[in-house]
Amino acid sequence: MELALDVASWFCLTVGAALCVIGAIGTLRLPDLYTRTHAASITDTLGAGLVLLGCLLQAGTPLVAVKLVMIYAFMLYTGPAAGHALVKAAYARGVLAAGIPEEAQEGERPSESDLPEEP
Amino acid sequence: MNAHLLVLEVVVPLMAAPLCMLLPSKPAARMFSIAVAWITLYLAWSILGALGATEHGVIAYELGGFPPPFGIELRVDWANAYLLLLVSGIAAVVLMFGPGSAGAAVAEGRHAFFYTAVLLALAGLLGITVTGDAFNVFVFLEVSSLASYSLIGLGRGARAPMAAFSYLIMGTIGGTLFLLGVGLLYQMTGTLNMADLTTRLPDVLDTRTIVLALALLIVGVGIKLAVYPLHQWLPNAYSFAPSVVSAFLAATSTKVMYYVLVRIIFTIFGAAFVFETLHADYLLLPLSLIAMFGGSLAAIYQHDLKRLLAYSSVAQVGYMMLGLTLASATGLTAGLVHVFNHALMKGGLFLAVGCITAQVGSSAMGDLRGLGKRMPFTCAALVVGGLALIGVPSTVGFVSKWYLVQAALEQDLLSVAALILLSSLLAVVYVWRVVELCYFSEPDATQVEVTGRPPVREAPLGQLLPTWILIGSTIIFGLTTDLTVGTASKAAAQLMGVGP
Amino acid sequence: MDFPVEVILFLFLLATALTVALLEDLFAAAMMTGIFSLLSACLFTLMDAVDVAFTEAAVGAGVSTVLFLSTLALTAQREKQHPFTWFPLLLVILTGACLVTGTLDMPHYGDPKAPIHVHVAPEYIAGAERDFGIPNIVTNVLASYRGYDTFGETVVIFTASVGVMLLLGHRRRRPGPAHRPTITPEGAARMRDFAIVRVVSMGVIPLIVLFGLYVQFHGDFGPGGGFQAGVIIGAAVILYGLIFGLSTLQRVVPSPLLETGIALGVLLYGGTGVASLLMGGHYLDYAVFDSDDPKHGRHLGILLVEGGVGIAVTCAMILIFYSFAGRALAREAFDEGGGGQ
Repeated sequence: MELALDVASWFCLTVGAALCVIGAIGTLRLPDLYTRTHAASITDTLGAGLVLLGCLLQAGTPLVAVKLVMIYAFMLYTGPAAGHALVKAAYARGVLAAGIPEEAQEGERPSESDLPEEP
Repeated sequence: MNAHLLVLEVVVPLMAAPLCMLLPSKPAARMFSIAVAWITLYLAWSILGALGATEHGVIAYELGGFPPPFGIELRVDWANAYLLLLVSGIAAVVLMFGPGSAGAAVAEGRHAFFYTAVLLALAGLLGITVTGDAFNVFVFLEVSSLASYSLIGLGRGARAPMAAFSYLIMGTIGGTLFLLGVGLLYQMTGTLNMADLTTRLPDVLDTRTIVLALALLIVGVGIKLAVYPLHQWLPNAYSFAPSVVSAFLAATSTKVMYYVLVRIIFTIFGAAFVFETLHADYLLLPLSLIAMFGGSLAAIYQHDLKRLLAYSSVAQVGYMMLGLTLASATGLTAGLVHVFNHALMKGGLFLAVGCITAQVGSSAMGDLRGLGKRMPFTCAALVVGGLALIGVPSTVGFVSKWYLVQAALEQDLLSVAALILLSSLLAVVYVWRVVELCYFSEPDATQVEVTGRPPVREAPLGQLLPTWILIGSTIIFGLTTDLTVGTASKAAAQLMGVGP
Repeated sequence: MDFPVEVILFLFLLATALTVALLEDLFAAAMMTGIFSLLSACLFTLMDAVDVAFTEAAVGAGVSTVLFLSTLALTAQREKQHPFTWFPLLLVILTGACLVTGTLDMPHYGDPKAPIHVHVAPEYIAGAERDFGIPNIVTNVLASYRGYDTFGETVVIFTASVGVMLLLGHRRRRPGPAHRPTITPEGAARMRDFAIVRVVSMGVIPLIVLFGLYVQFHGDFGPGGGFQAGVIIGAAVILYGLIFGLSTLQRVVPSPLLETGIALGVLLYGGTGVASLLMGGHYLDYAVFDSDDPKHGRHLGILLVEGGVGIAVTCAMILIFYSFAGRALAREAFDEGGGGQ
């Protein structure tokens, strides 16, 4: 039982960490803000989620377990909202997506890095 | 009441500051802050009296009833009692002057904030002076510094906030270095109490960490004290700040920092370690001599009266540092006496400049032409203050320099004594420039017409009175030296460990 | 031997600091300072200084980043080009070298025989249980043994907000289009119009405030206290302002209310000390509040002073935000977020 738990938590931690790395690579390599946000959201949801799940299996006391679950719930609640706000703000400012002709996109051409405030 | 004098000295202005902010009207806030400053002066006077009644010349107070080193201790001996009197006295007089040009800079309905900031600066300085705890010094240093930055930023023109900002950066660096130094001391000894540090430090004095701590503390305080060459912030800060603020800060802030430096070197580390083991005097002595000459020379070439006085302050800090570096009872007496005396003259001179800017609208040297006839009392104050800066007999400047020269001669430093006298000649030059413009030049006729201002009149009594209280006391304390030299020599003896 | 995670965090910290120094894009630099604070908060947590980590995360990563951005909305977004000079770099390297040399003789990190652990600390640990009955030693030391310092720190925050109000507060001379900010209002996102952002923040803000209150009142037992609670609640209110606009926020919490609040917070702290004076004790000696049970009196005293800190810090955070965000066109941009009232 102990061994099974350990194996499971190691699996979760490793996969979670790997997903975080993938998210980081995606954030660096993808061509524009929108796709990059997509990559970053992997770290937020699945990456962090699996790491937390791995920790949860090792938690021991119920109090710690509940705290971990609540952290994940909070992340699920706020992370996508922050990402949404970022993308919406960028879109409203006219940040263009890569690979699509400019005329096909609404909004005016922005200057580089002129992003509005993040909430 | 008597038992709690020490804590009341800080808590009264500290609690008064938020109260002052809640006051509804401008005159109420002004009268309130003046009253508070006079109460602190009374308390400081009582502390000095209570100190005379003690056997060893030390009063301690345990905050929260926790014995040191566990709790914070307030600890006053002759050196801090002397500083308390000076700081609260200057505040009491300077606040009577009113906000001056700062009044225009503060938005309507926020005038109480000006007095709140002054009270906070006062409380911070008193807090630094009265405490016997190294970290507590830092806390109150922050209070007084933040208040001074905002007060300086209230000066006329766009350059005042910039001067305040560069002072903020320099001051924050100084504060951070000080904090690092205190942190290292704590790391090596496990205590923050100054008296406890004195007993625990000798065991670890030979470590590099302690040497570094001393260096950090000296540089940190040196920035705030404007020791040459760390003085760059001072000329701008003093010349762009409102004159009242310059008067208050020039007369108190650097003086309190001088006291902190004295406390660090003589009480915490011990003069023997600093000057005999590390030979800090090899560095500090030349620096103070350069400050005396560099500051005075720079003052001669200024085109603005306030800037001239600011550079003269750099030179005067040099005299104080010289007294400290001589590391003898006489030298320290000279330094401490000069702290008091210079506060009186610089405070009075900056207030006189405040009178001039209020009437003439600027403090440029050119605008002083022929002012002696139109503002006779103000210009007379400038002259008397100037004579005190030079060190003419019967003024306070003479007293300080007399002891300083004596201290130099005691150690057979003839050249240093000669340099002190020589640098006074430079003071003659810049003071004479002011006198010449005031009394022996005719005002520029075209200038008067172009500005179209109403003819310049003598400053109102409310501004002349505080100016002349300070300027007058430069004469009084030049003639009777019981209070200044008497207390300073007791403080110096105590600091040197000779006993009162 | 396991590779300490502190080392990794310190390397990240170093990289972030260098990036901030080298970046010319001030917007990016402001964001990097937020990351810097977050990393510091992680380090503080690892050093078991959770209280400090709280504050650092809320102030450094939250509030001060917002203040930086509000300022950037008024100024240029790129740093001015300065010719490179060697002297400052040399000075920094020299200072750093001195600091490193100085640390060589220091006791090792976590050494149980270090002076800091054997001189005053044992008394603090014993006293927390014996005299106070408070499990959180940090809160206890800050509010009691060094309560005077904490009073001073509260006054520091008060002084800072007085200074900000004095210099920035109400000098609104040119509210018109005298100078255009680089972030133009037309393009500015109206956070309020985003349903998801609005709904999510409506859900989160009460939770943050609740958490702040928990940190305030649970400070005796877990990490926390007035400073932490103040910055957390302050950050929640500022978040509300960012999303619903400054003018909406100012109707909810008007500036005069905050000014009174901050003064009262400081007075509550200082007044507790004065009360202990009047009841015959030393300044801030809470034991006199209950002559039968000193422990109970001390609890009461700590509750009062922490309350004072909490009120003062919350009000100070919001007031400073008002002063920054209220300047000139930044206000316009924020108001647009508020739906053009």
